[in-house]
Amino acid sequence: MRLSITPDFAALEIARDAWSEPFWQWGEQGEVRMPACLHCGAFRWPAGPFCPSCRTQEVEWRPTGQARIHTFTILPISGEATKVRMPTLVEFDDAPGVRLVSVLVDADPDTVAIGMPVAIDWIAASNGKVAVFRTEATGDRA
Amino acid sequence: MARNPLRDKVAIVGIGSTRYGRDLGRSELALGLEAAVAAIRDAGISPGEVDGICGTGMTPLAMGGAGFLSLQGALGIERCTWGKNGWLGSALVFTVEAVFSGLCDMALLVQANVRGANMSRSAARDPYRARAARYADVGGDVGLGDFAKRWIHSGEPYAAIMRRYMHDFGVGKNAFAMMAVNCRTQGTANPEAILRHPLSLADYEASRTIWDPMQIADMDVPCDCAEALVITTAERARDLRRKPVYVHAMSLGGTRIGEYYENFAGWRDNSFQVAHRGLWERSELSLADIDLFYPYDGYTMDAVAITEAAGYCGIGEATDLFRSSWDASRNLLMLDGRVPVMTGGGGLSHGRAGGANLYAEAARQLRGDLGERQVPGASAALISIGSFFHDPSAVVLRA
Repeated sequence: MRLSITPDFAALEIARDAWSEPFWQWGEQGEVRMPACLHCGAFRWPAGPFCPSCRTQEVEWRPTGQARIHTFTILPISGEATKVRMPTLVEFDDAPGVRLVSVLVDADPDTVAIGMPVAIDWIAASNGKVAVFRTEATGDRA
Repeated sequence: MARNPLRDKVAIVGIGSTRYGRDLGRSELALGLEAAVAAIRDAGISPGEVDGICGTGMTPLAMGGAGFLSLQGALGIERCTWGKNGWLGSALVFTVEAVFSGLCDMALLVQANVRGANMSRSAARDPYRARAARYADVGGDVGLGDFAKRWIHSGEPYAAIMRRYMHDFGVGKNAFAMMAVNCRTQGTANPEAILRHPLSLADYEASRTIWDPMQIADMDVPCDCAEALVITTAERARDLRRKPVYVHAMSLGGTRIGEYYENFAGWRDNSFQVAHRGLWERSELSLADIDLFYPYDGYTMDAVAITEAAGYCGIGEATDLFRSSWDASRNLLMLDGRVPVMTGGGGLSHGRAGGANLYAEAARQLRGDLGERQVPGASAALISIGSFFHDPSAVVLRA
């Protein structure tokens, strides 16, 4: 069986800025929150200074609900017959329009499918924590 | 209809190409200059007549490489009243704009490509192996610089988009396979093609997986090469030695997702769709008038989506279109039974030239003097170059 790796993020310097800062702060508490426009409610991700729908600034950081796989790819790792890397894009039930890209970890690529629910894990980087995805079944076993 | 005041007012009058090679051992500038000199000679003009240059680069003012200022200096061109860099599909569009607007009269367009200079010698002999290894074990840089928006390599979102395409339309890889095989068959007639041996559908299936579901046969061939075009007004073109190839209509395209690959807005709302809508709103010629089709094939996913955006079939219907257009005895696509796709072999066979080789091939075909691979009577070509996200052009050239 092949299994997807967990990359080593220890040296990764996350580029935090005024607009994304709350995302990383929520992440340090183990929670995904996304910015929704206070005026029209549209989610805005990647975080930025203006709502592309109504051109206002203020946001509130809302919980995003269940994450599901939008799509993914599988990278073989040279010299490693049983290890792969899985860049994956997820969407959220309660944050329409938002897609988050990271890696799916500890997953058997042959069992992964578009639409599958995933849990979010947070892994230490040099100046914060990075979100990774975990299939729920694998998470339960862990 | 949208306005199209530039219709047939600007023409390609000179074409120059270098050799294509995996390891030519030359710089972007050296390659770009060779192509430039060949194009200027082909046009039969004096270099001093060039008064505008579009160089190579994603940054409009960047210097070095085969940027416009480096080219001007190295060519010793005394004065230019216009200069800019361009990339992929936009380079030709920028150059035509400049001539049409009057900022210059005789423009030189140069697109030079060199495989990553930081690769080792052995990597230079096998670029795929080197690239796959390089990206497969990169550890901590999902999100280089900005975790929220970056993929490690453009191949990753493209592979993920390809998977989503297969999921959304309930299809396998047939369309991708037929496009790949078609380009390799076309490349057998091009002496400069890097991959000049044909590929069968079975070979495609057996080709190595790079970013599942994307295979090596879905990806263009990295190489060292340059292409150059000389572009001028239709009036000036009529006095020159070469048969002019006219720019009939053109468009670029962009969508509200900006540069964020992961926010890909879907099959109906992407830059290819916008560019082709823009083109057909400006063109007096329609798809039925097109004799030659060049859908950019950086990845086969590009070429499939461009074919749909051009209007040859509905969105998600390329598999059926290609099946009904497939000449199994020759392993070739003939759209509507008559339109060849990617003569010359495109990026998948001829080599990765950022699409510049598609413009050059189309223009040579429309001149009608391409010898062995000339398509008889071809009088209009559709060339569409770029990605779902940036620099997509849709251009109709006519004889």
